[in-house]
Amino acid sequence: MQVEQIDEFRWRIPKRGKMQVEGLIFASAEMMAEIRQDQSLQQVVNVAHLPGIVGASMAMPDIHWGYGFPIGGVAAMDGKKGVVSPGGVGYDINCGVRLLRSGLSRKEIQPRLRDLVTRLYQNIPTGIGKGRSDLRLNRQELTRVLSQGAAWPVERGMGEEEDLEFIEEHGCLDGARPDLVSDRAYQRGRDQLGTLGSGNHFAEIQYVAEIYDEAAAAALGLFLDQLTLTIHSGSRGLGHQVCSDHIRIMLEAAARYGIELPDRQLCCAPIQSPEGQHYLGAMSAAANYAFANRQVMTHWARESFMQALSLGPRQLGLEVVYDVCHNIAKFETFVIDGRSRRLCVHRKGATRAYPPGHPQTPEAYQEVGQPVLIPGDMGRYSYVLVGTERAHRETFGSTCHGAGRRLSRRQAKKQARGRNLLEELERKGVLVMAAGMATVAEEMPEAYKDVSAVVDVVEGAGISRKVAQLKPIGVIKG
Amino acid sequence: MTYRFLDHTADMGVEIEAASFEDLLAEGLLALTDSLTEVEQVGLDMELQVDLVAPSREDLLVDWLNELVYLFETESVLFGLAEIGVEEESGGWRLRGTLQGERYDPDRHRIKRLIKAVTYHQLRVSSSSRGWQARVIFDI
Repeated sequence: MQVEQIDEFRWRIPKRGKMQVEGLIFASAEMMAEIRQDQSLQQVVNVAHLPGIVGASMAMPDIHWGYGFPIGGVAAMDGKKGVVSPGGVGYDINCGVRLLRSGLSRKEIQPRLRDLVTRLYQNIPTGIGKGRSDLRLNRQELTRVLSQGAAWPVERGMGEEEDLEFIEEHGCLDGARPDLVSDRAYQRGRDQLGTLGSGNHFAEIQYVAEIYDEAAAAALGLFLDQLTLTIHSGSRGLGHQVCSDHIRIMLEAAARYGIELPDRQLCCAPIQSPEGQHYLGAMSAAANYAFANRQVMTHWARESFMQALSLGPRQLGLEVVYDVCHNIAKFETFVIDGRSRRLCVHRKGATRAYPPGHPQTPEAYQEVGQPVLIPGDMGRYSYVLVGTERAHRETFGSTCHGAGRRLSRRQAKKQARGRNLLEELERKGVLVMAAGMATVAEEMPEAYKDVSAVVDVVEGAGISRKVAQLKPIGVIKG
Repeated sequence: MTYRFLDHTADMGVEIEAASFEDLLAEGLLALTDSLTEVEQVGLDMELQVDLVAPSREDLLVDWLNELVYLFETESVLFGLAEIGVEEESGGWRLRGTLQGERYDPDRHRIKRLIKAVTYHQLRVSSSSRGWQARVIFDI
């Protein structure tokens, strides 16, 4: 694979053969040596073949081998002539991250930490099984969730109107078509609203361990030692089913539209075709389910904090800092060669990172830019960044999304054998409660790369700016 | 009939070998159950019928395994055995199967991990003089 270094953090794969655009990878030299070892660069090249792709087939420093698209991939398609691909979004549609800030410091809650983690674990269903019995949806209500997104729980008293201001797209994608979501997806989604799921999903109590930019941290309402909560989850079985349904449709459609696929999982259809429109409508509905899911869990997290700490909502002040999607395709407008263009931006394991002054950046953050939330692993740290003008110009307003795995699940389990991971983590000051010990082993800190290296690359490249580092003290997992 | 799990950094793959295509599908069921829970702990007191049609053998394998993911998620049923018949018909391949399993019981079934979906990524189904082989990757 021919890869040319552009600068310290940028690498180019020149156009060749039927590539429509070049490949652009953000990574350090050290990372690039590692990236070359799997097939993810070939996936960057494969995505560059898709009809209507604009600019470059991009990959963020947390790139790794995915299905069809690499994880960490960004591809913007021309809104009229381009294609949309379910593989460019992934199975967990609108998997994303929400950060909440409290008015409390770590010291204030440390004596009650066990109780707090226990309450969270009791109130937010994790792992297998259905959601809470006090939130069972009939088809009509589920249809409303799919249309309204995060506004649905807020209208029912699960959250504040103000929460919506601090969610990407205000917690609702336009163009959602619940009528195009299959019965099977409805079946899977009916009892899962307000559930965390398993795998790498989590809810984590953290504290602000470091601040890199005082002014930006103040604008985001963050201060040293402050208690925060991060929720990482997505659209659950409903989203997985929407993806499976439409991959199947598009495998057939791609052949019919004469689109050559280097990998079947890259299947796609023209955005303007019936198949493309149907996928976008169903995918947007699933994305709204994910927004609602994180909103419901936010409400239960607030209740958990109030119960464990015997506080009222005002004293607690658990407010939404921001909520980002990292598996999504949506229409966004960018100026390219002096011309404003509406593009369908696929972010598969990548985060939107809009600059200061952008109309989609919340009013309160206009001076600093849109918050970007980058989880690490449950033993080390996560980061809060903000978007930049350069990202808007160069990466369709996109940046990285996480650490990326270092060990396969099998390798991780092997390394965990004979160890008491919960005890190890507790000794490091992290209290973990999980539905399954196998998940804890597969998700242990050593299974992940050091997220600080990823964050340093996007900052070094100028596509995000570091604001704060968060360290975990309590985690619930599936 | 055998299967073995493959290393895939983010997720999990499986390679399956069997004498016939039908056995390959039945073995796929065991591999899927084995990645969810301890397969030997799954009883066989429930019976369910499945009828699927797919345009190719590859698609049929993915649809079949996705059907099991769906049934586990919506009906909480884990499967330990399948009797499968596959026929070619116009428009593709038809699978008729009788599945045996039991309702998930948190006290007896330790869940290893959950599967989001069965993918088409690097999907392969082939036959040789040694029988049938397949590779399939699960999204975790």
